[in-house]
Amino acid sequence: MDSFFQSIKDLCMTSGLANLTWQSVLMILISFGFLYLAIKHKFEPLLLLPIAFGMLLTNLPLTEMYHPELFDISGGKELDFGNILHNGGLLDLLYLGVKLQIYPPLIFLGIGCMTDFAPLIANPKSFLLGAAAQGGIFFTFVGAAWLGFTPQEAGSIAIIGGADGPTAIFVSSKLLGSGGFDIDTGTIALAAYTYMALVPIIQPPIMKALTTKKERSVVMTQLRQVSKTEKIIFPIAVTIVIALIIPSAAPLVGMLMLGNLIKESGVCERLCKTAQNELMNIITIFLGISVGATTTADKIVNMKFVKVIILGVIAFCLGTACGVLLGKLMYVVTKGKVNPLIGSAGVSAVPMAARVSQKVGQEENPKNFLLMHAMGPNVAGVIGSAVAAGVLLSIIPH
Amino acid sequence: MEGSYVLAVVLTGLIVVFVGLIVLICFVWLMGKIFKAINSAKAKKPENKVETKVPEAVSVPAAAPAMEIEDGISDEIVAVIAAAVASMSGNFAIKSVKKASSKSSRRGAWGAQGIAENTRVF
Repeated sequence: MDSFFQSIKDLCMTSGLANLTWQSVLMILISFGFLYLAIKHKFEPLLLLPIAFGMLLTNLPLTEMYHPELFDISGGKELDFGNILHNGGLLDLLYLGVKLQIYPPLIFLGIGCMTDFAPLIANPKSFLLGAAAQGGIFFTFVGAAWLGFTPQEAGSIAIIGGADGPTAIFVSSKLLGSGGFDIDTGTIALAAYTYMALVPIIQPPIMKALTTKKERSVVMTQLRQVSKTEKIIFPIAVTIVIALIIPSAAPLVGMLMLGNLIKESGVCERLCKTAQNELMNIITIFLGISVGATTTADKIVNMKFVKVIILGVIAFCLGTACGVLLGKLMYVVTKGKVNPLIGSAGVSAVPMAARVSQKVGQEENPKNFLLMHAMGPNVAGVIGSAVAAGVLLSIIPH
Repeated sequence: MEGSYVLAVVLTGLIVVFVGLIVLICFVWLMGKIFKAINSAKAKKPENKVETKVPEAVSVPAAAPAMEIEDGISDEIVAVIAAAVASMSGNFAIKSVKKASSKSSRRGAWGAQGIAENTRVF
């Protein structure tokens, strides 16, 4: 009888319940919060839902699905792939795609297949707005440095301002890859996707505060037709130009442009369908759940995470403000032909940011259709944030 | 982090992003100009052909002064009818625009259409 009670006692001691800590309980509750936001309020559900579930799985005690110690390469250690393959759990293996920066460029391939660069080709000045909105990234870097973050952490936090999830994951997994930091890729991804979902709430007050009623009412002239040949040349040219200027941006920009060339060439319909549907969906699941798995209690339940959240929203606001302010400058230079509201779309977040420009513009003038004009800066923002990511990776040692 | 390092990152980052995208602006602008020139060169030939046809089309409005327009018919309606007539091949002129009298036909529009369908030449 004693041995029976002993075995029951042993079983209880090795159960998850006995090993629950207050930190893991808190993390599980936070994952519930994100699941609620994803399901009920549709906050970037395609990524936030798998991230939240990955967070839930990794914080349930003794599940042995993700082992952060396997990826610890601080102190000059090498990543032991044999050890990961032999002793790693499901999420460890999936996390390799994040650690080796495989998933974000593949997501960009799918995005390229879904993106129409015609508004940007028709109005190349939109590139300036896409560049200006990246100001949020670099100005936030200053704030992060001031709050005592290391250059690698500051760069990872700053890239949240690019409003581009895959880019944020790409940069942070490279900069923070050596380990030994207080924040992780999961922290950055969580903040980035949450704020991307909040674009319609964060941006309009800034846009209205920085523009006058007259500026918001500007009706822009119709964009010219773009030929198929131009659409085919564009991705090839962008790849060459960006890869020559900032080689470290090549994985993101190259895959984005490959996807776009597949779409615009019109001869790879099957590849286009796969890249924008099946491949994209599979990678999204893998990326979301493995990034969520990195959000362990020690990375989230601390003051640094609170600082990341605050800096993240500042990065978003600054990016929006920089885009709108350059839009105002273009309004003055062009003598009222550019509506400054399209500047806010320069923060990537495609197509949400462009929709916000359209919505705020129509509040002033219901007959004003800014959507296609805002799509130019919006897709320029995707290229701009990839370039900014390349610059950060080139400058900051990792 | 030193202030000079932070400043270097910010300035380098902003300048490189702007330079990279300005190079792309120049390229896309130049590409647009080239294609515009090519398209306008292609469009020149068809334009000449159109010009030869214009005098024929003008002949229809020439009959306009003799046109009798019943009161209550707006200029827009007359323009639509004129455009429909002009789009038909051959020389047609509109002499008058009058409202169809309801007494002129015992059938309604649907009835007339039904007759037309049933009596169409095989």
